[in-house]
Amino acid sequence: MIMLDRLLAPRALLPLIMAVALTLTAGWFGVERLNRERDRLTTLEAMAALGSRAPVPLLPEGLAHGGGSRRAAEAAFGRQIDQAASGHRLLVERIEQLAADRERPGLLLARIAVSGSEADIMRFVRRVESGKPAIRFADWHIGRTAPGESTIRIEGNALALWEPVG
Amino acid sequence: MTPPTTRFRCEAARPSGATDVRLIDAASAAAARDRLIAAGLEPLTIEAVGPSLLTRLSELLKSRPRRRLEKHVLGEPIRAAAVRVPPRFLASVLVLSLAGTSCALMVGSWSLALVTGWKAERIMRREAASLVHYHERLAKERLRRVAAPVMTAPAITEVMERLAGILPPDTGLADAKRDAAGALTIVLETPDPDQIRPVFAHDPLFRSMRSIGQARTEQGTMRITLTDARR
Repeated sequence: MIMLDRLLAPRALLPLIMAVALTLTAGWFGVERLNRERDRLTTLEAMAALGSRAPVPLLPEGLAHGGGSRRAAEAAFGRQIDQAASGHRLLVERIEQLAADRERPGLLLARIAVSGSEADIMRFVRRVESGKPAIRFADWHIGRTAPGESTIRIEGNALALWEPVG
Repeated sequence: MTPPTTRFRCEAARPSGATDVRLIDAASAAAARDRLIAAGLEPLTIEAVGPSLLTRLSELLKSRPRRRLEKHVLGEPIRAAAVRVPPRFLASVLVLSLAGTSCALMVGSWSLALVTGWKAERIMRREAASLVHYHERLAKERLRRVAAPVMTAPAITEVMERLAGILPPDTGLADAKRDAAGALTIVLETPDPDQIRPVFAHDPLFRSMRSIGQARTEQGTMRITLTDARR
């Protein structure tokens, strides 16, 4: 009781209240920090659990550009389109590969504009779409080059995937 | 207060002559006999078998000390003076509990936060490869979201071959396009737009297409625009 009397003396009361306020504030910040750390831990655990699972391939085997680097995949993709366009008496107005998307490095895109007879254009499209690795047009437009003209033009964005193995 | 009773085993004859055995709790054998007669039975034997269970229970209750009951229910009310706590003591307990709680909160939360942080760091060290795979997987899933609709949509070749197969001979394809959202738009030139609708309605690929415009051409045919874009 003597200790208590000293502790509760008016002189000691103010420092005591300040100490309590300080420890309460520190406790509050401690709880905040604990919440943040727990969130981080839970997120890391979930990320590690997901990362340890075997990935699901984007496309069946052989349909995506695999292995090597993106540069090699880009070269193979460009070559595939060039080969499809050559030998069909087509006017290649534009074949331009688009820069890599930082969020989706596996996405290979090329802007294409080619014109010619309807039969030649369809042969070109069939060759592009039936080749391996797979190419599809994300968006496309087929129409006459001008009203009354017999030649037609296809323009659009061809898409292929680069999926490094391992 | 009920008088103590004894349990009697009684044999009695019914008016029909059959024998009945009953257990009767009564103060005496005579009382048990009276109850048998009152029930229309003729007592044959009455044998005491001990005090009844009710009597035993009441005896047991009576023999137990009644301190607690007396204190809280039966006794005098507790006087306020007996439990009066000095206000100084109360104040000190309050202040000390507050100080103790805040200290415990501070020490507990910070130590738990440090331990949790250490665990997180340990996962980052031990599961570094899994975390790298996770980010690769995340990028792959982002790519899948973009690529899957394109890769699973009908190819241009398929659309054109299907159109060539179902369109009437006098109908020609003037224009076709698929936009980035996947909506297909087709422009046809036909002498009779009414013959197009049933043809498209029966094809699963074009069933959802609807006419969004018609115009007459210089050649006298009709130019119809159809799309499956959502309104």
